[in-house]
Amino acid sequence: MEKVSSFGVTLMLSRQEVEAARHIRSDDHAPQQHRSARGFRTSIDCRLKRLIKYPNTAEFHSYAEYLYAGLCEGDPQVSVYIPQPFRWHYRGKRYQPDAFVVRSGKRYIVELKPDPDEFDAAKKATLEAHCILHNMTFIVISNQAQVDYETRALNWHRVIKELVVARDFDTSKEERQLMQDWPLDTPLTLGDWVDPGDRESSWLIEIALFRLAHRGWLTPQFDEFDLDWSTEFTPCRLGEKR
Amino acid sequence: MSAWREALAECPEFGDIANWPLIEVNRLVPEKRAGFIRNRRMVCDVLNGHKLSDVANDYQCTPASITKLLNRCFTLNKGTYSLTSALIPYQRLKEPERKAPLPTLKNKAGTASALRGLFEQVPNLKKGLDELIIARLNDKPTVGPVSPATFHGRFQFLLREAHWPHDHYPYTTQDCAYESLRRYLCQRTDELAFERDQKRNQQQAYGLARKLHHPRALDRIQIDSHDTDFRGRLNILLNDQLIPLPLARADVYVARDVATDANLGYTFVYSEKPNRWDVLKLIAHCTQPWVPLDLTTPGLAYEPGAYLPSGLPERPTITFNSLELDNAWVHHARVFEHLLCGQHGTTLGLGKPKSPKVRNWVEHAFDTINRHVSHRLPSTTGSSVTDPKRESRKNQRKVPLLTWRMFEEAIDIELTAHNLRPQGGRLGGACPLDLFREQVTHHWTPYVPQVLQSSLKPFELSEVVPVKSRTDSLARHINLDRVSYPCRTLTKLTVHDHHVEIRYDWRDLRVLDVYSLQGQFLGQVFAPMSWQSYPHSKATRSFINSLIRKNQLRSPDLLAGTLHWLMQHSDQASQARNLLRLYGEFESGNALYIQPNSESLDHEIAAMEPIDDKIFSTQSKNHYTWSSKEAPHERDRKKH
Repeated sequence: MEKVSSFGVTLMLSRQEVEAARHIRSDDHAPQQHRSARGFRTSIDCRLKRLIKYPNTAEFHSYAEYLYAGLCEGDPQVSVYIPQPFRWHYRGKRYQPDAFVVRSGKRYIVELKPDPDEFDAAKKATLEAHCILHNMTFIVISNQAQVDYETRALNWHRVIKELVVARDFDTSKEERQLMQDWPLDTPLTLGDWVDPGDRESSWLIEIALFRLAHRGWLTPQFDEFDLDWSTEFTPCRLGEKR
Repeated sequence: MSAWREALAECPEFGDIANWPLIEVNRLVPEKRAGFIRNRRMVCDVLNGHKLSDVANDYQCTPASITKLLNRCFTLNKGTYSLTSALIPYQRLKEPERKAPLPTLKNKAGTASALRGLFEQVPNLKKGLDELIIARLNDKPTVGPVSPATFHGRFQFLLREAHWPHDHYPYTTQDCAYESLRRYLCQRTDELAFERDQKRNQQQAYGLARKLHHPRALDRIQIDSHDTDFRGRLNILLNDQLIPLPLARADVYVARDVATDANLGYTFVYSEKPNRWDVLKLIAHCTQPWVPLDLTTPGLAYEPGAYLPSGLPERPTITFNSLELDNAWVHHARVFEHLLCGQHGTTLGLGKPKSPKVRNWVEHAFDTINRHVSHRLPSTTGSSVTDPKRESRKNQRKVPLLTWRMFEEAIDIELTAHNLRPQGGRLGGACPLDLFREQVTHHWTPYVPQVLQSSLKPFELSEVVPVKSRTDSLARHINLDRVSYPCRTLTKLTVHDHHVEIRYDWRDLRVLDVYSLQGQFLGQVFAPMSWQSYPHSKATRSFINSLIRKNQLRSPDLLAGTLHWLMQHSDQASQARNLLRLYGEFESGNALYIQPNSESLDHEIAAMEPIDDKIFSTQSKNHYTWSSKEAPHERDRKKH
């Protein structure tokens, strides 16, 4: 085992891990989205969307990445999401991970694959060692895991769309009002707060409700049905977040 | 206790033979059917509680043989019991394994399952052979047809690479395991093809489920363009002379809502290929209140109650949750990211190449246009020269009957009529407009408040540009699309403002609104007089600049000169479309009537120097002002 110092932390890595980590060449260590070239963008199932946890237009290379972003947006433990964060080189070939996620203070490099078991074992070991050296964790997750929560992810994308449109509006007053008027431990529907016949006058309440859910103060029932007036939101206990 | 009794104790559900897997008797070879039926009856009797000895008496066999049969049924094979497949006489339940050493020259042995044994001993042999089969199934260009001979050659190559000794199997056999490999090839090809088809079916089923999972208005909108068959004319009235210009084919962009099958909007493409401005026009057409056209064609009328959704009396807010387009490079323009993703929060889906079925709902719109409008006339049908519906040569030489205005009106009427037509299938007989109303009224749909609707301007662009000044004067100017806008009207512009933000309507570049980087309004700047005569868009300016670069246009009034140039080239169908677009911009899309001042044009033409190819090539550098290397101030600087 070798002692390796990284970010002021001493890590114990095996000699193989240290050797493996050297196979990755990275030009930058600050995660930022790397947009793809034209030829690549026109050959994949490309999607573009503005997010909240990533304040620019995010580029997704597959439907699974798009769903994963929606799930991250809906997870209050996730504070940062950056798609295509690095441009590394593994044994002379370019490698771009799918996402950089900070969850509960821990940093993850996420790779989405149809079958995680098919990911090259040597490459995975190298990436894991490289990420450990930079205080990150490399994980490979399956596309199917995102598709299993498709309804939830798409509902969050609908919410994010509304929040992007309303990003310049302050709803702190409406949020306080909601939390004060909400009966304890009582789930209420979207239609209980927003007037479907007059959305104009209750639009700020709608946005405030979505913001509270986005921050984790409300738990929406997004798993089974599409977002609708009958979707239930349950407040979290005082002082606790989702 | 017998193995089968223990297994039954663990899994009592298999005590009923109805829970066993079904194998149809007629799918077995005839020789095995009698034995299979007999074995099944024996097992059924035992499971129903009859004594082993009684069953053995009935079927004239021993209890031990019945016990052996039942043990065989409850043998674990890859984690599951064999059950019904064990009832087939002589059925191999487990894959054969080679336990004996492979035959060599010294050790003569049989070759049963020798190929399997060889796969286990030689590393990467099976993997290498499977890769060849998979490459062929996936239609890789580097792999040709895989015949048994080819496969055998690959097998021998892999053995040589592995340095397999030549006194071992398969070199001890006469055919070098050719027949075993041939059977392996057939079997493995079927297995891998089945796996591939299973994956594809799953993906298709998943895609279909995904499509059916979003039955909400404005949740998914599909946009696509279609080259519509159209052979018509554009009437130009010039100097009291009616000039019909030919138009061939018209690109139509249509937006359709997936959930309700309602047409949201459309636009015509006036250039050879669609550009980003056409898509922006389409988005504006979808989001802004629809107004019916003033119909001029006799016999055409809107159906009562036919609208595009934006024109409904209740004025629903039209915004898109996700927009699906094809992966043409024009759809990757930054202006869409800014407008759709940045302002509307829309998801822009630019699908995979060569996948029109992904946007099949909007393709149905083109089918409707073809069937009800464009393919009703003989001149438009006929994908081949021998098609009987094709127009006769005699009529082809005549001026087309259909005018552009008629075509526009027909498309508008047809697309709105579709919204009122009951649709079968997934809409269950409802009409798209009613379904749209119901969705918007009773379900949550994306919404934009009125205070923001005015700020969502698909026609407004903004850029940060540098404020430039010429070296020979203090006058400052802003450049936009190769045109200088003098800043003399900007009284609030200071010497410290090196960059400003300009906002403009891309349909009319004659005037720009200038703001400081801090957001303070500084004033308006105007294009030079040569660009002021008519409103013109970025696309028109780009077109004019291209003509200037090619030395095909020189006129004090560039817009009028462009019109004149297009009139000269109006026999070309592509230029006729450009003329149509130019006219639409000049006259804001009103009636097709343009009558430029012919005297002023003659004066301009007389003022121009004659364009001689030989002279022009040497003189062009003196007059051509669009090269960045030969800009006037650069030439002056070099002179002095």
